[in-house]
Amino acid sequence: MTGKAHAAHRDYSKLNIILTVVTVLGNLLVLFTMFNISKFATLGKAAFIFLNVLVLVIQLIIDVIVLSAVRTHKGKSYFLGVILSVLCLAVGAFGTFTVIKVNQSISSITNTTVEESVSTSFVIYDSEDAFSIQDVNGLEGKTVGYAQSTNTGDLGKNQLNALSLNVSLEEYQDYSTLLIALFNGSIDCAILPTNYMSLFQNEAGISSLLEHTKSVMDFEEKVTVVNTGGADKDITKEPFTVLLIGTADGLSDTMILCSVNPISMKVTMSSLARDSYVQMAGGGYSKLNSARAVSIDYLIRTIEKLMGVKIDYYIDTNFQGVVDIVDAVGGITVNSPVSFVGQNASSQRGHYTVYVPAGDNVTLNGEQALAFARERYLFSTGDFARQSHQQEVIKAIVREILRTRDVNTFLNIMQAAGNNIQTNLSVSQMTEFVSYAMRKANRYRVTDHVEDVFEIQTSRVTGYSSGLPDDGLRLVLYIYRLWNGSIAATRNAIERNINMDTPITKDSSRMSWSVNWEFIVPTISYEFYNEPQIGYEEPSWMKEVTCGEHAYADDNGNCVCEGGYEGDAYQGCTAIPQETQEVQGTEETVVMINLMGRSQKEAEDWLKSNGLRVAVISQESEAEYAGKVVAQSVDSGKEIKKGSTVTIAIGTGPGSSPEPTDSPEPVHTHSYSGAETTPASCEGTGVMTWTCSCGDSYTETIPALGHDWQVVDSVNPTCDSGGYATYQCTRCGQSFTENYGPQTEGCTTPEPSPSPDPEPTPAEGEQG
Amino acid sequence: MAKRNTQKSTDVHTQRRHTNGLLTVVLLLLCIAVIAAYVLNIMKIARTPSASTEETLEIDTSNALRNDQYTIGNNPTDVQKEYFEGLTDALDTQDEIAVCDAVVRCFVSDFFTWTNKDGNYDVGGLEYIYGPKMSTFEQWSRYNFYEDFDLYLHQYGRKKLIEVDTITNEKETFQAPDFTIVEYDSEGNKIETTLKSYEVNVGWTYKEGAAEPDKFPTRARFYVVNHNGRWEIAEFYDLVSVEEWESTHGGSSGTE
Repeated sequence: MTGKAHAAHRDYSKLNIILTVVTVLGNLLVLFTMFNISKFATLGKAAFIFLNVLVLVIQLIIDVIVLSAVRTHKGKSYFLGVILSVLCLAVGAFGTFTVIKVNQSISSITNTTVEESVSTSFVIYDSEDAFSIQDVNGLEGKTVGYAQSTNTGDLGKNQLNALSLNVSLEEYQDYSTLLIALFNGSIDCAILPTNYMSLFQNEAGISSLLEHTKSVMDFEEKVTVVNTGGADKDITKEPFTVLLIGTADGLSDTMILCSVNPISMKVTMSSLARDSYVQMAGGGYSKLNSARAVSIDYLIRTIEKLMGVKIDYYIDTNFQGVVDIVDAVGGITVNSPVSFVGQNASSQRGHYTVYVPAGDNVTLNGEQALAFARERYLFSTGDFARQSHQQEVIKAIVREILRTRDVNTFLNIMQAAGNNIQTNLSVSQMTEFVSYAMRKANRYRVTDHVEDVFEIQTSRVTGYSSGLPDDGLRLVLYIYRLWNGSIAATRNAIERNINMDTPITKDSSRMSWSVNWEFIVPTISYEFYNEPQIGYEEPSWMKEVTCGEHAYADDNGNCVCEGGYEGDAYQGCTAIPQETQEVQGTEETVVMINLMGRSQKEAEDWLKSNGLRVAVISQESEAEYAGKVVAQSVDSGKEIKKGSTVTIAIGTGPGSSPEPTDSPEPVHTHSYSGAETTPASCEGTGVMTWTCSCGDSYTETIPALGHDWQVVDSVNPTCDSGGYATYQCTRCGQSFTENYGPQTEGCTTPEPSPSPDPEPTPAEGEQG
Repeated sequence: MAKRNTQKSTDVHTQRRHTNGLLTVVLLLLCIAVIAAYVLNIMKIARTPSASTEETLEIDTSNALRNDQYTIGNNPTDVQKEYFEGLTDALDTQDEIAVCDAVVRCFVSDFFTWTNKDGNYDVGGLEYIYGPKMSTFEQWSRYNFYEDFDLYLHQYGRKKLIEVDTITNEKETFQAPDFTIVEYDSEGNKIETTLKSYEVNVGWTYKEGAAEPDKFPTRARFYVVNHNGRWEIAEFYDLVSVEEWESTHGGSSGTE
């Protein structure tokens, strides 16, 4: 044999080994991928069997070609074998990578044992900001409070032990009562979550006192949280309940209790207000949203206790989860009553960067959908409008999932969910239910709206506003008390939907229908119930208040001067001379105003004229916000030092970018005095004009006050007649009446009045 | 030297043949293993229980009937098929009374039969309802006649659900005064449409063995309207309520 022939043979031997290894590896990776994706076979058994057969045939062909190449060493077949085996390896590797990612997502969704980072702070308070405690060691001998059954409380106590500090510990029901104890001096220090400022920024009465708090120590630790596993049910056969929780900063912002009946395909969704004042699982009373701060299990047990219904599963998501899932399905369609600029997924208020348009069937992306679901200030019914929008967003997401047939979309949804959602439903339960729902949707007659195969009946557990006075702080904490009738009605609706042994009482022998009759889905729960309301006795400190001239008592019983007046509100206020009115703040500070919606030049002029440095960034926005401020780094009303830098975001509209300013330089400070040139009303804005003695001036829009609706008259509906509730604005006197149809629950169906028999058309030839 | 080279060459050649033989065996084993693995996987998928209830009905399209204007409902009973064929025959004759009678029979045999329904959402007879109000009627049905379907199915089983057996006319069908349909456009403006209509009065029976038959209607009056050349049901009342009303308010019951 020649040397050349020898060399060729040696090459083939080594190549054969490499080729064989690549082929075996490729086959194994493809097999691994197929085994893993077959987990979702319930989504379409026939399709998965076909896929397995197809892949088997392809793999065998590749293996046979490689086998032939190894044996015969023919140039062309060898080359083909190499190509195919490398392809097989590449596909197998990609498939393996994808299924590992999907498995990780699924694992993080369904893992009921999670490791959470808990950030804790030791917080002190002084109304004058004259803090006597400078660091954590200053807590020696002091009284420290904590909220019971919370990780924060446990970690704080452990930290105190680790520091060998000798303190008196006081236990409180929840964070709200803990903070109140701190403010009224019952304790010297409170162990709170580090983000306590954002947790309570919307809490009436408390939020203004937060500014006088300080943390003397922050620390973070990981804790393992074990949540209860879900019920062992076949949810394609048995009705079940599921609690949807929207969590923000450790509190449950949204709580919707759902019941699902897979036979009737009926779903009830009942929203619970986060300020609902209820008995906790641990025994005491508190606001419902604080239960989540303890744990998911605690929240579930609290709601089970409240509603008298067993909760089989939960799905807990954060803000980003909503954004990612909506984006994964390609956006959702809703009916938006008003257009507005709302908050993005950041939980800090002041990040107004999302424009939501008005109209029917508008398509929203993830951030817009979240802003739509969170907004409440623009709507007269506030939190209740928000609950309705949250339910609308959920229905819209269900609609898009049922309509989609794209595997890539499902993978995106899994990834979005994996990062942001926790549930105690198992993977098999979820895939089986999705498959089941799709099968039902495929046989539904109304093909344009397959999502209507689910009949979703929405409601909320209603109640009335009330308060809890605190004598120490002289403030009234807002709470929402629930009607017992609403709780019972909601429980009955859920029971009917999940208990298929419910006695059959309906008599359908009398039946009528007409195209001219309007059908309204029956209400689960009414707005009002004829029950005594639990109010609170007006505290003595509110009764004793006598304010001076041009002053009035606020909600907390404190006298404050009317706008444009100053002085001692208890003795009498005097008018502030125009020329001496200053921008609030000291010579070294300035109070930030609301720059939103102003032009870039207006905003820069104001900032520079108040001794502030300006930095500009661009932010994509709708066309109408191009060139205008859509976000500011310092909130309106905050006092900041002159010379500080304020960053403003300017809307770019589609495609354009404004030029940032040059390096800022401090300028001469004006001194403005303000005058309300046009007062704001319930529906109209006002105008404040600020003028400097040098002649420079600018105007500022005072936002519309909004209506303050109070119920002035109401009649509960009965079986025979409807009811109504009349609302009147305490400011402008405008009113409207909301009518309710007759009660249907527990009533017999009223008999219709059939139209009388007409005279028949005489047959031909007959006399009349 | 040449002899040594030849010997060496033979040894190398033998070694390579041995190696190739081993690789061939490996690849053959791989093929067998791949086949076995996929066969097992396919068997596992085939044995996976379907995501459905024991009561879920597959759609039987083998006997799907349709004519120029109507399509029979899913999983039709023999009675439904019989009346649908009657409808097809009536359409051929272009006899309006015969068509209206047949439409009502098709509706009754589908809407009031539960044995072939998959769930509360599977409302029968939608095909024969005034088109623009079909969705509203479907939703109304889920809160009224079909509301307790799941309870009956669970507590009595499918075999004891109601199934329409025979349908007869209570009296002759006749042309009624034109029927006025009131609708509203997107701006809230009222739109009235007047359509030719026939009054059809029928009674029916359910098959033996149905659970709680007294709780279901057996006689009704229908108003069938001509909607763009298609006959559709615009209104119906159970006859017990009609007769009670007429006995209180007086009023003829139509021609004999």
